[in-house]
Amino acid sequence: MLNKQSIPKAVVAAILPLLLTSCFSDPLLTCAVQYQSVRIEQAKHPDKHENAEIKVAYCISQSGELAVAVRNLTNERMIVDQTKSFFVNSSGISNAYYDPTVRTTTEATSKGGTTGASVNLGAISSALGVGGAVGSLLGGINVGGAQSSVTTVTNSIQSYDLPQVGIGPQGTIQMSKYFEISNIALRYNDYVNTPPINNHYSTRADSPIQFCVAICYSVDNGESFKTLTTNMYVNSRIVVPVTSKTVNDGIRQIYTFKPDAVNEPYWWIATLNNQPKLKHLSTYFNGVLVDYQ
Amino acid sequence: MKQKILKTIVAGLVPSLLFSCSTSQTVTITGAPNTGIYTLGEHLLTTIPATGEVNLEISDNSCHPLLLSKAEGSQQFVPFALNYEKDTHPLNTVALVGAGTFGFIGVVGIIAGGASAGAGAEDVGIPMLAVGGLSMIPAGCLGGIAGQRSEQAAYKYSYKYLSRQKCNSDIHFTMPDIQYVENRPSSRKNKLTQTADAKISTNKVRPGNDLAKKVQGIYVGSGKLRLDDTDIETMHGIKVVIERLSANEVSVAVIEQDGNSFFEETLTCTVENDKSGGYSLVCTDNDAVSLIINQKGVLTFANDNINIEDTVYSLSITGKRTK
Repeated sequence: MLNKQSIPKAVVAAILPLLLTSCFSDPLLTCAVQYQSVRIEQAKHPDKHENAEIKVAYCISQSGELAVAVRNLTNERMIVDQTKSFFVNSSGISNAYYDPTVRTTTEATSKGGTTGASVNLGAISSALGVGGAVGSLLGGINVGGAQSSVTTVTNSIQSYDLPQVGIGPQGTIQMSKYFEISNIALRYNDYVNTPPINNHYSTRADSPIQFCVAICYSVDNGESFKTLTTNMYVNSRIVVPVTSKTVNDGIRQIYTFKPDAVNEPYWWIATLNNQPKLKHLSTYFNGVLVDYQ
Repeated sequence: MKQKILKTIVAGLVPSLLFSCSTSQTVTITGAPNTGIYTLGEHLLTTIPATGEVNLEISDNSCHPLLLSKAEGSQQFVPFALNYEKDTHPLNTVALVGAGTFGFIGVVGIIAGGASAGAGAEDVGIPMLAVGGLSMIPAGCLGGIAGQRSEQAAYKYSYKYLSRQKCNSDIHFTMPDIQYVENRPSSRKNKLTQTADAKISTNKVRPGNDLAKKVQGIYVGSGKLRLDDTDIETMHGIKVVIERLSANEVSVAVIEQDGNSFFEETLTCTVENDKSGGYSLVCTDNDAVSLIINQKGVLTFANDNINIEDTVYSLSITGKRTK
């Protein structure tokens, strides 16, 4: 039997652990630092595009989704044919930017097909030479040919891709789909027990992560079409296991392995920890991949 | 009784007031003078002075797994990490326990006091109610502050930064070796540099001097495409087709096994007698080509300047004339 004095003790003993455990998350655990850089195969100099018609910028989100923005460098209307524009993954699977499926969502802000990858749109705008208000709008406008019709009765939104999308002279669009690049995303669980990785690939053929985007466009009102094909690949992947007290030592180790690490055209570095909410604070992206024709 | 109540309140309030003072950590970052320290959003936090180190106060609300440094005059941000160690912040735990204890006393006091007063034992019930009610004050104070702290990153994730950190400004970075191209062909044929037009001689020659007639024909064999000293591709069943243009000029076409021409255009060569009794074909439009046919009709073709997508390969073919 419990006496009167033991009851309060029992209650305290039961409540306090619950109270304390409810206030704290798991301690921050950093297991590794990772570096990856991506190059374009047979890249063109990013600043020498005086006679180009089309310029395309590529950015990759933390979750490995590829954002593509297209700029029309001509003074004519450009047509992007989405039925002939593709993303090809490492596996070789090709995905067209045009998807005939009619999508129905109930989100009032849905942009139909845009999944909202978090990419450095500021860098894309800068790379494409899109400044000011237009540049800041790049992430917000629904471009790339997804068209929506709102049914007010049901408050649902139907959206569908357009086979062809027009871009005004010197105009810019963001392609409406973010395709996920296989195996490029940073995943904490992948690296908990990983051995050190220090892989460098001099050619696309050597790289285990390669992908390609083909943008089919016309500058003569659809009479003839050209294709800008950009082959990209991960050219460096480094993982260094660390402890909480040696995180920066791991980063310095990366710089030793790759002395040109911060001067690659597009690279990112991340500390891999067990707190998903800190992911955006644990990754730094730099640069943007640019191609033109 | 009043003194006890007062002590209870003070015991709860004073620590909570003191406890509420420390909300940040200070780390010392060492690096080259004038190096800027930035957040990942590239907002300047501080600049390292001439002493080579700077104290940076970091709010416990902020978590910085990575920061950036940028050397004076450089446009390149260099990530660095803040090393840390596990810290469960025991003072905050004590505060939570204290809040829980006061809260428990308060709840029990209010319930028991209310029940006693309701049952007519007001002399016991009212003081218990008072103790219970007053206990809720330090419970609220401590609990509020400790709870708020627990939401701060350093408390939530149980860490504290080590006092000394490096910003990696001492590391020298090189530039990547990237060979930019001006044009990217869709197929290798577009990149081959055979441009001269075939020129047909109209001079009349004696039959014995018609060297072109002697070498014309189809030579079948194998070829190797090499990059430096590495074999890139071995082509079996490759054909070299030589057609007469004039008495001493021929066109040379290289046909792969699948029937496609290796070069976009045919080569034009002048045929000369070789000292060994064979023939030497000199290409007028490409001096990188060497083409020799010996007395037995064996052809040796070499081109050290095969430009495929801006990479220079060498091609060698050995073939025998078919009947």
